[in-house]
Amino acid sequence: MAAPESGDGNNGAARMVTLISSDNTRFEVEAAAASLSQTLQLTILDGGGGGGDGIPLPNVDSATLSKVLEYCIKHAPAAANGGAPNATAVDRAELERFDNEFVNIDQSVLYSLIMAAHNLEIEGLQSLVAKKVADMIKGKSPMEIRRTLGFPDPTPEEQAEMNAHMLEYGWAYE
Amino acid sequence: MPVKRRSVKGKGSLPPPANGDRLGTLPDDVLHHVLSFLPAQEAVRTCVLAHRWVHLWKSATSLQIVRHDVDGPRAVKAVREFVDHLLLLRGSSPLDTCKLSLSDFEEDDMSRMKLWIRHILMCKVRVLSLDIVSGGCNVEVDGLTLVSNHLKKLQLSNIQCDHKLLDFSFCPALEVLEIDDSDLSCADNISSESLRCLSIGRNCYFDEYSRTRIYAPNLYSLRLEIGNHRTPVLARMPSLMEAFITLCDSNRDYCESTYSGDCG
Repeated sequence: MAAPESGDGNNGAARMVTLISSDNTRFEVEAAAASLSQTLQLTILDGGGGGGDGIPLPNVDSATLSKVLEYCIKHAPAAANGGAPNATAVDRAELERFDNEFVNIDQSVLYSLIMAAHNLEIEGLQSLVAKKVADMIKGKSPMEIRRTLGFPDPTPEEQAEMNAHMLEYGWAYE
Repeated sequence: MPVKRRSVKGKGSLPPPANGDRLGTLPDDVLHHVLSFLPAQEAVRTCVLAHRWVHLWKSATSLQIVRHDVDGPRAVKAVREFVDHLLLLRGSSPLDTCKLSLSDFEEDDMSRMKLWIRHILMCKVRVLSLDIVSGGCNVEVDGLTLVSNHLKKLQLSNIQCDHKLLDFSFCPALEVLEIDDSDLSCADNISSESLRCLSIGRNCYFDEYSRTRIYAPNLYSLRLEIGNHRTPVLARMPSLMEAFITLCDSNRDYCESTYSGDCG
């Protein structure tokens, strides 16, 4: 197993790693931020991503990776403090404000972000985007949820199936 | 530090995919995660959305059974039926977290409530939160012993705890216990070999005459807000690293209150 590269905080400079998006754009970012990804963590611990190598991410395009890294950079200091038990209320409020604005995006970006968070296993981001989708469907009727999730209008057969399930699940509609 | 971004020769940038209409095509794991942020009623109701969604809710690993808007016996009956259906139909599908937060339940409902809790434990829940109010009073959960090899964190609110509920001999993985707004006057002991963090806060009441003994030899963190009546006795805690103990002004821990010679 390779040792982590030198420059890992020894001379005050944070270790950097390079990530390469599916459309071949290179992103240089602090190892601590990229390590919020469970998928990348081991590779980075083994010294990967440094120098000219870079870690290819064939499932994440550059627009999405840029957004993902924005999240990681913002959350890395708190994560380094073990979930930030020492964080002040101001720090926590600032992260909350950031998170709220961060997911205020259109659905195509949200979809890509959800898939990237899922593939890269970034726990905090996975929860943030899942909660965003839950908030989008909360309090809505089945037809409204279908529209929100981008389903086409139901065929007569699908409508009949929906009606049957609504009867079967009457106990959830009391 | 901002991200350094540099395009290299290659395929060039692809246009962003037009997939705004694809939230419904997300993988099951992701949709389970989404459902875990919905109240249980709304999560179940997604079963009518499309064929793929009929059974999706049954495998979600988090349940929020929260009903505080019940009004009258008919509504209570509906909630009972809902939880019965919910738990029976999802079967023993594994649970990670479960919040059971209900109000206006009667004493008669307790045997059913205990059955629900046992069922939830059978689903290998790791984090369990119980908050059950009955007509403004704490609900007495007597005779329920929690048995689970998976329970890691337990939060109790508005519960009248007896010593059986707080004897965690059969919860060897329990690490965190948080008790708020609960009546501990019938709890002679709180005991757990595995517990790491214990918090007894906000408006908890111990017994007026005898002291509750807290046995948690592996405790790392203790937060204790002592309300009225007898202050608990702490058994040896050699691993304790942090403790926050608050005595409220009206603490009535007087020697003349003791029946058991535990003064001093």
